[in-house]
Amino acid sequence: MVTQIDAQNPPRGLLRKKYKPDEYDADVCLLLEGTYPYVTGGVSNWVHEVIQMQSDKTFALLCIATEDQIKHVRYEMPDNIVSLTVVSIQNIRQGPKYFRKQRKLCKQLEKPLVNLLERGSAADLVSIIKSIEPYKAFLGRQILLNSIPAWDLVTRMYSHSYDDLSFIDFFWSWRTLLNGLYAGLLAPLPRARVYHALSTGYAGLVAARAKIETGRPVMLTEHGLYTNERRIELAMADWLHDTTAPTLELGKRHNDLRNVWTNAFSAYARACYETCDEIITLHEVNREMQLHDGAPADKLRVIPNGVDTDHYGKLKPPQRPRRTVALIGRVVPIKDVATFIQAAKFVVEVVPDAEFLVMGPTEEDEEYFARMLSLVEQFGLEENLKFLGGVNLTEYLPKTDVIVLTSISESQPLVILEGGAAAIPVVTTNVGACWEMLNGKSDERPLLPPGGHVTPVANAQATANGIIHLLTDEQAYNSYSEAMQKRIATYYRKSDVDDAYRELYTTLSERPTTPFEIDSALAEEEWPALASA
Amino acid sequence: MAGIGFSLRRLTRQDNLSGILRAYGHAVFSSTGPWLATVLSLGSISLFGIKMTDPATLQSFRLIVIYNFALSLIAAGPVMMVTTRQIADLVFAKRVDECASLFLGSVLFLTLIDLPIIVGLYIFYAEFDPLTTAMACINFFLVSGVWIASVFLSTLKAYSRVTLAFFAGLVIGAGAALLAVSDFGTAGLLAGFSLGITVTLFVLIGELYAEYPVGRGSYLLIFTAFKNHWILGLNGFIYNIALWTDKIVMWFFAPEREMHSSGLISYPDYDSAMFIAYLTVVPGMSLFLVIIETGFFERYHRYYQDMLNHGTLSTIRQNQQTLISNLNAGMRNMIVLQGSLTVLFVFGAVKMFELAQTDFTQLFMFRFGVIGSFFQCMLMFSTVMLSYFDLQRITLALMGVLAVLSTVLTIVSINAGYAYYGLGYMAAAGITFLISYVILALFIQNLPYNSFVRYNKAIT
Repeated sequence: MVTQIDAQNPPRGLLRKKYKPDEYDADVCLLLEGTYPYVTGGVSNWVHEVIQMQSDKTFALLCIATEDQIKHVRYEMPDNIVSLTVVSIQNIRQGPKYFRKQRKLCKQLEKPLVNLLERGSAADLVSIIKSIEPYKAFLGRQILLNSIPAWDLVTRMYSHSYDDLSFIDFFWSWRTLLNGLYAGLLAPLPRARVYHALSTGYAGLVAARAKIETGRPVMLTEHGLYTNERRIELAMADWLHDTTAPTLELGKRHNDLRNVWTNAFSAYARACYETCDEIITLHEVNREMQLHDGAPADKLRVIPNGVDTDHYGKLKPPQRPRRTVALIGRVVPIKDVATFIQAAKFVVEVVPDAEFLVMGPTEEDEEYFARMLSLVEQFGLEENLKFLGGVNLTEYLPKTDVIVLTSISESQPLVILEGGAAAIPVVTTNVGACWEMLNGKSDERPLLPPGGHVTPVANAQATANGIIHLLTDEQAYNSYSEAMQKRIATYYRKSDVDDAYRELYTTLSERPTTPFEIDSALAEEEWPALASA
Repeated sequence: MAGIGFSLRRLTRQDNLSGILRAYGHAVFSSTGPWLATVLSLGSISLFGIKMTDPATLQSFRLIVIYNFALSLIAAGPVMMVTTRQIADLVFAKRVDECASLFLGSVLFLTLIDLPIIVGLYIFYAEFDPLTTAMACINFFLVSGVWIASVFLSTLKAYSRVTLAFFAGLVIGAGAALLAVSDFGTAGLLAGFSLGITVTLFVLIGELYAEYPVGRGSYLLIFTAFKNHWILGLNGFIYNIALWTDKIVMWFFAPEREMHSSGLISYPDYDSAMFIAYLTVVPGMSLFLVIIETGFFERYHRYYQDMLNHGTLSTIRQNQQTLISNLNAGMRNMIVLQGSLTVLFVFGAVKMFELAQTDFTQLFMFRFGVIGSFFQCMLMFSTVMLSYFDLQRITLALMGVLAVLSTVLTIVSINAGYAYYGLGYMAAAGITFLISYVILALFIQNLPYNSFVRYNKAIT
């Protein structure tokens, strides 16, 4: 039975509990943000499978989510989950209105918090944790956010580097950010042999906290890059009030409200990278970005997602004229179905009897789907291009000759792995790990031939050319198909991935508890300018 | 995600009809207009009536009018405060066409409240002849109606029209009263007076219906309004109690009190001394109105506008400083102007009494009353400012303090002896004013903290 713990209302005594040296709540503590078990998706499915596969280990989950998300649990949780601690980042508990040392506490917090919004790192986090530690059991938002010393804190932080910004916007951003920070730091942390964060951001923040507070080994697996995703979101955000007019002053660095947010998330990421023992990601493109964001090279590993290559291997399409092209994915703007449709038009001019199938749910964005339908009509492709809705791949993969992806953004699309395992060549846009999946990682030995074509984004002609090549050149098709299957079977085997993680968990669990030491070399390192761009 | 939800936005609209929240502070003030008109009309009737009838008739008339005013104000106070707030809400929600029915609903509601009071007082307790009793009851209802109507018009800031209506009524009333007194005695005085009030009331109602668009609204809106703003209602109630408590205590406990043949008790010397004393702060009250309307409101508005419109902290602090200096200047002007008038009246009291050929029994009471009224005027000044910042519970507490202090200290002054009558009221007003000023000053000193965090309804 899963024990539910609400961070806003933990059972009495849990916050003050002192653990004996070898006392643990679970073997592995997973640190999750906005994902399992409240949100469905790639990462959630991954987590669910890992827990099921490692059935000999007990798991404690610490889930950071919004109030809306925690209303629905979307997975049936396996029996080896012993506890589920829910942390809402939107509101920490009220707490008492006043305590004697609140002025002193807020003064202590000022410097590390200022750093956090500029070029923060694990050292600042250590500072904050040490300051909060003695009072953890009763701190709440009355003292940390609403008290007069807290007000002095926000005005000083504002005056320090943001004093030409809109104060009200800074104030609310500060409150939201600190709410999240304190929520992560004040939540009751399960004691486990290994901590495993599934993203940086707040989950990564708790991972760093775990290392600092417990000294146990901590690992990180990044599927998408949290900090990057937030940067994109913030760049597009319209709720962020833009500051004063651009200035012609050359010397002064132009500080923006966006900086407040990006710097905070970069700081959390950096603290996480500094404290983690192992940093894993799915593919090399991500690895490059992690390096750029300050992750030490010696901690980085690539462990891709895996698929059941045996099962998919049996779904190889039989020998026949190649005519069926599939786009397997939801009909949403990020998949850029429009380019697919346009490419289809080009292909049909050369291969008139080519068949195009869109296999994926159409309900998520009704308006977009309607537009795609009218596009198909405009191009007169009703006979050639059909929307099938969500389908069972086991049934349809054998009917597919070429898989096409025209997505604007992807990480490591499962369809390429599954289709590739079924020896289906792929034409894809150059996003995420796609190039790597089709052409091999930099350390691929022996180097296999390509498994398909990689095209620029939103280039229907290039996509069409790739498709035409595969449909018409049988020799090339066979070569690509074989290479793809070989590559997937060698490097993306699910059992290999499971073994890798099992080994990681076991090795790290057995390591002794080592108190975290701040690496002074890292502290001197130049913080990359990317954060404040 | 950024959660920018300030309920203070409500206070910063520019729409013309919606200067209402400004006038919200004036509900307190606008009750002075009616008071003033009453005192004047009472005074003029007394003055000319002496020549036309016997003192007993005049005495009954005065007594009934005073009781009517006291009780109607205490009963109407809550309704007035809640109604004012409800009008502001309606304007904000662009439901102005419901105001007219709100008016009728409020009058109806107040009538229901008044009924037990009237029945209890005039029909069961007091012993007047039937005609006088009837006139007294009618007068009560009319006066109550006038309070409500004036709220609606003060919210339109039609001060001049309201005052005009009052004075027209006053003149007509006085005239009619004096005409009727010889034939009908007290009842006649009351009838004439009521006629004047009727004129006032219906002029006001006419204005009201002319100004407010008429539409569909619920007559029961006043009940929801009370549920939502019950603190304001309580505020209005305690405020009026606080103003009258010293007189009521005198009526019950002063050895010099008079038991009238009807059973109503009063203390005429004290009452008239206090009423005249209150007249001396009318200039102060007008000044206070001007100060609020011009300097204070603009700077207050500017503070909140800049805060919401992405101003920097230094701008916010600057605006706060301007607000503080404006407040200080206003306070200073009030004290200088009204203070010097008050001093004038205190020292000139002897001369005034000689001229008016009044006996000197009221001299000390009058002096204490003058100073007390000055303090009360200043107290209202700070209370209105506190109301602007929506500090409802604080103003309620202040009114409570005034009520309690006034009661207790008046009893103490009775025990202390005749020479100290009125000191209770003066001390109570003075102490409460000091407390209110300190609270106001502290609040504005920490205005950024108070507006962003402490009293920000968006923060839990």
